[in-house]
Amino acid sequence: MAKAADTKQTVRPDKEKKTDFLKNKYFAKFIKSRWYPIIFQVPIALIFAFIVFELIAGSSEAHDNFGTAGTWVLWWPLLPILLLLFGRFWCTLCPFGLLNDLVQKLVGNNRPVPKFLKKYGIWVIDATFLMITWSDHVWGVVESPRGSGILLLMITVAVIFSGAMFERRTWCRYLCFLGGVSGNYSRIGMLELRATPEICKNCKSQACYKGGEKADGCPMFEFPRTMDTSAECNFCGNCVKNCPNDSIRISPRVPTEELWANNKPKVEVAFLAMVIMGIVFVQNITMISIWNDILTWLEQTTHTTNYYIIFTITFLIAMAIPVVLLLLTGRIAKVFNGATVKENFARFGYAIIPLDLAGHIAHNLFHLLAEGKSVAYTFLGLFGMHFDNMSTAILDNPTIQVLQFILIALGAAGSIYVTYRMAKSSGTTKHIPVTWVYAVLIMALAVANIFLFSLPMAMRM
Amino acid sequence: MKKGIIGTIMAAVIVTSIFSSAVMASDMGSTAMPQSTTAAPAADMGSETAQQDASNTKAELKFAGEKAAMSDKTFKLILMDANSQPISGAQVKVTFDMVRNGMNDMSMHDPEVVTLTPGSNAGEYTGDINLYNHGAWTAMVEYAANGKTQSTQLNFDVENSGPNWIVIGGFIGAVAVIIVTAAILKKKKSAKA
Repeated sequence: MAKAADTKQTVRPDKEKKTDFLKNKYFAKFIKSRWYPIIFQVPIALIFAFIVFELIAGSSEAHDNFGTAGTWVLWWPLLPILLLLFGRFWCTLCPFGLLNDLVQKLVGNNRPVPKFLKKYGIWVIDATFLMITWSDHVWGVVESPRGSGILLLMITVAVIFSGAMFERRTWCRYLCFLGGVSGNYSRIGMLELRATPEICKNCKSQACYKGGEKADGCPMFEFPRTMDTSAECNFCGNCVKNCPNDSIRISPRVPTEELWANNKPKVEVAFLAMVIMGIVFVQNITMISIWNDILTWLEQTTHTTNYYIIFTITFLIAMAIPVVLLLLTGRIAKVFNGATVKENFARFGYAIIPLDLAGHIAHNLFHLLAEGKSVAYTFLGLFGMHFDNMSTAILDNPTIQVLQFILIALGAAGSIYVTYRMAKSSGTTKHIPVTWVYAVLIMALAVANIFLFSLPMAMRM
Repeated sequence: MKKGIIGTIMAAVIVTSIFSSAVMASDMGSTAMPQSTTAAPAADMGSETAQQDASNTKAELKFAGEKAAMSDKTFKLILMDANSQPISGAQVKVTFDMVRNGMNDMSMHDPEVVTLTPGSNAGEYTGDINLYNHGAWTAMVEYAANGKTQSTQLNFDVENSGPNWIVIGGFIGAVAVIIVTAAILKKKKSAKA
């Protein structure tokens, strides 16, 4: 109940006007049925198991491995698009979540979440995300089917441990690095689940959180009555099933809307947003043709050819640049809005999320559209059909580049608009100068992205 | 019911542990006693991998492990003259490629050229190759010694490497330990309640 107790209720008058998909009796019936979400979870879990098998036992060459193509050319690029459209709905389909639930039912000890995780979970997620990105570049996890397979097996072990020891989906809420990123992106997603405060105020059962006869309580430790963010909601439907008053609604919303009046900004979330920007830079830099020239220059400068050292330096610089820039911008904005640098960092770090998501989608759009056919080729390869000499591209590179530029432009526009709304809602009279200050930073990050996307990029397959 | 579940899990763990240990032991055995063998010859390529060129030079290709299987492999090439005397000090390179089955099988993989370095014994040369897929392979050996450049082609089959049993064993072992520990803790908790 801790989460429910320390979350302030936010009521906005426009909520009543929103479309509620649950008003559709067929949709509501489906969400409330016992078939949801298991009807999606089982086939996805089977595909996942096959992909892991392929990664561990299939061709050792990424080019020929269906597991690599399915994971890194199809699923990974589609994920941020799904998050934008449906929020964290993927998390309810995720095979790791299903595994967590199964283990919990079998041998779960249901211990409370350790205080350490509650307090520092997001930092653990930040650190894990950085570590995995670093190890991918140093050991080539993505390029190696075996490496990808081992990573998935390691995560599986951690999920089983979490499900066996702790209550609900402790892993998904406090430890999953992908969940952390998904949570950040879902803040600007186009779907939200909320309760109706007017109905909930007389409710004594709190079945949405505690659980009822029809389903367990919220696996993500959320209390829909006071929930004012989509960062942790995975649309599992448990609260819809349990609510005796039909208070829950699922509604479409304008992307980024949730950030416009963010009254409880957290430094760690803003930090993750900036780190993701750094990661997109690293992903791009190491895949472009000038990376080898940069490596040579770094080798000469540092007087070492050790890739661990050289990449670690590059990695730290790439991560630090967006964080330092946001701090500096916060210092300048302080002159206008009077807030501390830390307050500005936490608040306006969220404004970078639209650009983050755009950069993430744009980067992976290349893999999806320039290598997309490899998914079909490697799948057919399992049946002895070979298309090795065929192009894997769905679209040509110039078209993909234009799409990437458009995405970055949209992301930058979204980020600047969020900054404007945030500055306005913060109560400062100088919200226009504050917006300009951050707009310069956002434009600089966007230009850096566009420059990197304009260079030829290496393929994964 | 719970006793049944725990019993089943315990049995599964014991079987898994024995299986994992056996697998790891067998793997460690082959690592501790590296027995280099000639790569398994393709069925339609004759019974020997070792080939003789026009000048009766013999070339023999050996991979670490039981058989040539998919993965990064260190290999040895042994060159001997007509009198079965080792050929030392040669400049050797080997071009590896998969056998292509006509026009419909034009792999995107370029043939990989490996320049070999002298091994520990006379006439022995070593190099590394990524045998990225299973099937029939060719190794075109080119060597220059005593002012003469000669070449010979070797054929061999690469087997599907299958899973890495150390990883699988470790994974199953870790999962088993977690499940059993959780089951015991749960049982204790139930007993207290």
